[in-house]
Amino acid sequence: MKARSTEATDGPFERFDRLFRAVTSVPKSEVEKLEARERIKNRRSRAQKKAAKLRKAAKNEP
Amino acid sequence: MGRDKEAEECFPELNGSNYRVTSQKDETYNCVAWAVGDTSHFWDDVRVKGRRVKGYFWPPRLSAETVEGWKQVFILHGYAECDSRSFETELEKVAIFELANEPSHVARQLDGGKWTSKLGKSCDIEHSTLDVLEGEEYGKVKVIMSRPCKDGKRVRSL
Repeated sequence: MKARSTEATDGPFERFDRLFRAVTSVPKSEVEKLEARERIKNRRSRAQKKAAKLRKAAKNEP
Repeated sequence: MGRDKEAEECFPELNGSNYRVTSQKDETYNCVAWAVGDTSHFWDDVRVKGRRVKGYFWPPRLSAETVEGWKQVFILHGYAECDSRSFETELEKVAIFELANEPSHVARQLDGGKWTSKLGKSCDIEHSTLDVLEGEEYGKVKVIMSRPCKDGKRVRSL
């Protein structure tokens, strides 16, 4: 209950700070593992293909 | 070149006695490129507004998203589906892996019966069996294909 009431009174900075700490608390080894798994993929994922399309489209915009 | 820590993390069956690294990491080609013998492209169907993206190649009108599409690529290169993954002197073989109903990897058999694989953007490895790459990352071998060796030679020894 206490934590809940603290969250309720948090401002945007506190919320961002909490989120940032949560994200950066992922161990480096886990990140490296994810990167390794990405590297051994033989196909670009749909998300990567979509991102490439968007980047290319953005470049072509006047 | 020995062993690769990343590869061993992704494929727990790999160990010092059943594989060895045979190239540096290279982002410009993948397993399909390595299997067909064209390391100048990353073989995948990547297009923007219908136009191919530089560095990528995929044969026209074939699907890169299905095992059938990958099979067709190898049919274009003279392969036909077969049953056995065992080494046969006069036959060159490839094995297509499937994960979650999609093609994930292809390995090529070497003279002598070992297999060679390009691990995505990472390194090439030589591995004693196909099983060592089966698992969470590449799934299971779905299709084996073979073709007669050309004048007794295999794709990279032509």
